[in-house]
Amino acid sequence: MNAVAEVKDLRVEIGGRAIVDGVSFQVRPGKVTALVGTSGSGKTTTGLALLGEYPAGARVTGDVRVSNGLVGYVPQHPGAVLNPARRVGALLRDIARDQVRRLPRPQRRAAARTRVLHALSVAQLPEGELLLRRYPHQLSGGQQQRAVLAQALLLGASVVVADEPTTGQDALTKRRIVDQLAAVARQGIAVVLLSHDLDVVRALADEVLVMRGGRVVEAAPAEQLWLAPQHPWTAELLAAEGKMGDSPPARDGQAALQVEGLTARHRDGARSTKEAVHIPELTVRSGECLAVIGRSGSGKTTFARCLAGLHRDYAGDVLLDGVPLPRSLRARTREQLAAVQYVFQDARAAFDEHRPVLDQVARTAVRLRGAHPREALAEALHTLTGLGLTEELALRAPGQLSGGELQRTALARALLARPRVLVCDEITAGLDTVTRRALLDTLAGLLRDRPELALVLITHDLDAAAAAARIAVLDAGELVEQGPARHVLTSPRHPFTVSLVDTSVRLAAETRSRRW
Amino acid sequence: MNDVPDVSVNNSRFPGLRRRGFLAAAGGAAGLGALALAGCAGSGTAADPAKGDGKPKRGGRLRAAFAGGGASETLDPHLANLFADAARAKALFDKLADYGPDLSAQPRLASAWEPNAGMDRWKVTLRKAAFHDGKPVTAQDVLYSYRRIVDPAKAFRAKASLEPIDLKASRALDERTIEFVLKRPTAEFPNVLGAFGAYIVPEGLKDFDKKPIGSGPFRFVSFAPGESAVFKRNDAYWDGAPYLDELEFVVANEESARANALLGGQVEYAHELNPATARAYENKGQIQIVRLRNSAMQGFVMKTDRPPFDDKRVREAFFLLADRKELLDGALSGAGEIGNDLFGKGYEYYAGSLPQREQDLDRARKLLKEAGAEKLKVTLDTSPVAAGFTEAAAIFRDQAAKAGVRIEIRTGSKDSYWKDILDSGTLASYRSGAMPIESHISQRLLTGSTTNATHWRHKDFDALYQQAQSTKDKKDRAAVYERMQRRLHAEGGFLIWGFADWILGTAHSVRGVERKAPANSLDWARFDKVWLA
Amino acid sequence: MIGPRSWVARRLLLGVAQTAAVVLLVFSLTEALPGDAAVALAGDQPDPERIAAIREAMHLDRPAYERLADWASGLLHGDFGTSLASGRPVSSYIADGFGPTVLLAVLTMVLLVPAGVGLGVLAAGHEGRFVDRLVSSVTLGVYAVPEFAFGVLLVTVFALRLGWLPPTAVGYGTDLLDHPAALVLPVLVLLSRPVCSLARLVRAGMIDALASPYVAQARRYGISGFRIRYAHALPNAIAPCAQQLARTVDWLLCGVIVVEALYVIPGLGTVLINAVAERDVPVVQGLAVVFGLTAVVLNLGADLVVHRLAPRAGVAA
Repeated sequence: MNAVAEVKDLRVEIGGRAIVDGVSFQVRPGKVTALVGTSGSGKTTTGLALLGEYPAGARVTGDVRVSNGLVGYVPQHPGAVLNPARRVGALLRDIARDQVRRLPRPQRRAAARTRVLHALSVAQLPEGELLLRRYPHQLSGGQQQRAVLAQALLLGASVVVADEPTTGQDALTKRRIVDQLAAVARQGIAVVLLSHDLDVVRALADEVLVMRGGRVVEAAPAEQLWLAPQHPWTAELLAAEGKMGDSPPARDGQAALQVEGLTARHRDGARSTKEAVHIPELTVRSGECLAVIGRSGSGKTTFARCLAGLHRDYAGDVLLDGVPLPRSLRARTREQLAAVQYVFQDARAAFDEHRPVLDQVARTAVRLRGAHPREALAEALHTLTGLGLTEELALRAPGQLSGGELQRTALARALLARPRVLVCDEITAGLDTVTRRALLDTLAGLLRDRPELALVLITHDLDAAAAAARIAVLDAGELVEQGPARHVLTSPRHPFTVSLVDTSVRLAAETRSRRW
Repeated sequence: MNDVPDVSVNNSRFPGLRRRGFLAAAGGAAGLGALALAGCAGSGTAADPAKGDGKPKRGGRLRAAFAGGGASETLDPHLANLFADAARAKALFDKLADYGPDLSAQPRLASAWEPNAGMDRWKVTLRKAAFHDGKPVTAQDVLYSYRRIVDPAKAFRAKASLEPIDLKASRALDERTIEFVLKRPTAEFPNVLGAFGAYIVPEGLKDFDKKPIGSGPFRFVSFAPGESAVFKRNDAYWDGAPYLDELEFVVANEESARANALLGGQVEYAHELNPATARAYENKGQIQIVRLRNSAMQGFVMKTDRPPFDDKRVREAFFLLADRKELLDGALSGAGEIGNDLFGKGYEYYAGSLPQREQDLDRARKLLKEAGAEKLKVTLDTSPVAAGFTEAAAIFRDQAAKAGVRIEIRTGSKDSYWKDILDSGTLASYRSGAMPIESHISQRLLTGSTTNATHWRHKDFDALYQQAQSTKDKKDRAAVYERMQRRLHAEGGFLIWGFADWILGTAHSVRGVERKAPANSLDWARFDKVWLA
Repeated sequence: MIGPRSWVARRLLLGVAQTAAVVLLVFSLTEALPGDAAVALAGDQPDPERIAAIREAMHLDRPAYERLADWASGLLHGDFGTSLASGRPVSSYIADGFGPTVLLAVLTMVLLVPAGVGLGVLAAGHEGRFVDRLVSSVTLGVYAVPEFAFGVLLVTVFALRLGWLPPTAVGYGTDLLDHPAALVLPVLVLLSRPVCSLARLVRAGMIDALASPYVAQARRYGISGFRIRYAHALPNAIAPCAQQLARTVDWLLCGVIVVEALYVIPGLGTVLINAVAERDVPVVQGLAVVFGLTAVVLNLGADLVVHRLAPRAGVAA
């Protein structure tokens, strides 16, 4: 089979440092090629090189060739490449318009429309017609991703580069994305998958290239890689995705946070309200970690935001040590603000890119506890080093820290308020397995060291949830099941939980079955 | 609930006010005052057009730019207050008399007047003249017009000027003769006939804005208040039909706009230009600059009824403090003549024999010392309401400082300045338009005067005035006026340092513009004797 | 958050309250000025009797609150009252002045938007290079020149020296459209500063938009440069411009007195200045109502446009 794209001895240098160093591979039509590695391994740069895009000021040597020159791109956050001020169909129509140029004028419009609708249906958006008239922010994450995929399909790309498509998704969604990309590959399009989610790579890839430090350390067909990894780094990667460790026994600490009859609402743009979350009763105890799991869009984030005071449109009560918390951040006292801290999923966006992280971490103590700046700095440094970050790293700006380091810094910032409740919203999403493992270990360590702290972990990743003491399952806003983690995971009662657990088991099993 | 008055019948209109341009144009003349000035009586001279201007030619349309009153303008001549109003009224209507270049009364609609021995009954004969609708001008029309002016329910400007007339007793002797009965002997009665705003309108005329019918040299064509007024020739005019076919008055409040319009050929006559503009374009060939000398008196008023100016030595000291040339050059850019603390330079009855005062700081200091006012501190009220006021105030302050007098300048509001200084303060900037000297005295220097800004109230002075008014012989009257002026020169409250030129601009094609015509006299803004070459 | 229709209704109601506050403020300030209409009319003949007679006839001897209450009750019936100076209805003053002002405003806006947006897009498209630097420095320079100075400069050069255009619109007040040459200079002066600020605003927004991921995506897929600039980048760049344009329209509709005085165009600015000097309170009040409502409506419009252009702008908690 002839390659549709070929990379030969690609070397990308910035400021003397080689981000990609001598990478060569071929991409074949209808096959999925996965580039695997931690952040900073150069896989993104390589993927973008296929598009013909390089970082600013880079020195590039080597050869990148794509057969028909059309390469599609599905970024990690698909919403970012959808124009917020235009309807979803805008770019699609423009692409189609260019393609029907040769037709006589009266036929152009209809022909373009047909093409667009076809691309949408291939991208598994059958109700595409309606979606075209919506704005990007009115689409769910999955719909956005499919819309972006439709763009690439419409273009007639022979290669589609998918950059971390499953980041931050629950198992069911991951399944769907996997199916989607597989369908694309079946169309004869080559898919280049950049990911550090080994489950997905295992389910999808035909060929895997492991990258580290800008070099390809191992390249092999998928089954071969899993059965017999040659390079030690590959072995380490594969090992890190194992079971996360036993969940600690549920402690009987006092109830730190109680939720009673919480009904959160969303006001849709058009006058109607939608119930987003309904939780009759939920308790988080001190020294315990509660994992809240569910699919994307099940209301986990809304619930977390209610706890933190970021979403005030709800009925019911959230009690902190028996005292109801004001619904809005603005109405909470300083002590209440300090007591419930929130760690966001996108750590990079949560920091000011210009100031050193140490200052930003220390600020919490100054503002929420009234500490003296010098003491706050000392405490911040202490906390950061306790989480595994060096002083030298602490003095850098956020842009110079990796994803995992930044997430730990965000944790430190929250901890500086000496909270009672720590709400972590998908903080392991987007991290490679090694870093994820380290972060979860850190969280476990926190609980051990601070018995009064209660942890609420919002996640879709069942492996991470397995490390928690208790699990609550949300489906379409309803609390369908809760209980000790081991019970919920091994013997789920509610059908949704069953399907969730099953899917992730199947995903693992399928890949396992591919090994022989 | 407001009743909307019927504009045509119950005209609750009141005289407009002096308009000033919004922008301070370059040249230091801030807040241009299109100040309309009242006048009383005077004789008119027929303008002599042939002054190297060539032979008059018929035809053409002349556009004249004036500063105006905005959307509240009217063509009612009795409501005239601004120069623009006066010019329009002069085109459409006539008075019984008007003022010549020396502000003496000239017969207009009145062909002759004759007093009785006691100077309190006057027989005025009308000439043959017709209104625009063909009806003749009769004594009834005259009486109607004057009665309208003095109507107590309204507040027409000329009412105060017509005060000497007892209109109830006055009557028409026949079609063209009126006997005016006066309340007291008034030798200068013809001045009353020529008072500002004392126009003759047909009996019963109400709608002035739509159909203003007068006896003037031009007929009405159209009027848009605040924008333009168009008139056309009245062929049946008693003083000879105008040369121009059409006359258009356009309103432009900014002096620079008027100058630009003239330079750009949009108008042929621009009224009231700045000295700076005049200097820039005089003799340069694009436009003609016309200076109307002795148009406006400039000075300071001192309140003679309160300290420090109740002491006449202080007043004389102040007269001696002023360097009049410096004031003229600084405040008016040299466009004018110096004054001698007497109103009406160059007018009829002016006491020109009195020596011109010079600055004499030593004598001023001596006088102040005598009066016990050595370290005198005075507040000078001024305002940018008229051109040159603030500059003159600053210059005078510096001049006074040389003699140890400290003047503090207080700038007041433009819109209420004249009322404010009438009764309050001690020293203020002052200005007046052209009027006969007798009018100046009766309006400002008698005990009962309505606008007595110097608070000059002396019974003996009043008596002198009565005496003059009762004197039939002109030469004897002149002697009385001279005595009065001598006294004012020595100890009056008016420090008159200069007389400003009124500056006009015309296109080269405009001929027949009378140069000896102080603003508001007969030949000022007189378009029936103007032609386009 | 409440739905859009009730939001608009709320804003309008609030706008009425704001206009009422403006009217009250204007009334108090005008009353606080020294002198009143009678004094202003008397001018340089401040005969006390005459002033008193005028005052009585104008009903100015009644206390301020009574006059205000009368006027307000008239307003509720749609009657703006009558001018103290001329007795003509205030609505005729406003109507007469409105025509020229609206004409100038429309002409200015019709030219402003394409010119400003075009310049901004041009500068952003050549960011950092000569064209951008030229546009930026010229717009900064012109913006720094005050309107009256610019106006005088234009008149001197184009009307007086070169004679290409008439220097003023004197005498054309009622039919400006018949003399389009007289409108060129005033419109240029009115354009001068807004076009500069709009261009700079558009340029800034365009630079951000052109550097965005969605534009990069469009470029990747071969969309033409023209479409990228105008169909993909520009819609994101012009949301802040909506509010700037609303302010500009508001400024234009209130009558720019500098331009009106210099070019003798009898618009609302002239009416207002004359009315204040004459202390013609009913006219000033009428204008205050008109200006206040205009500002409210325009700001509301701008917010609606912004909402449409940047529909995901929301408010946290």
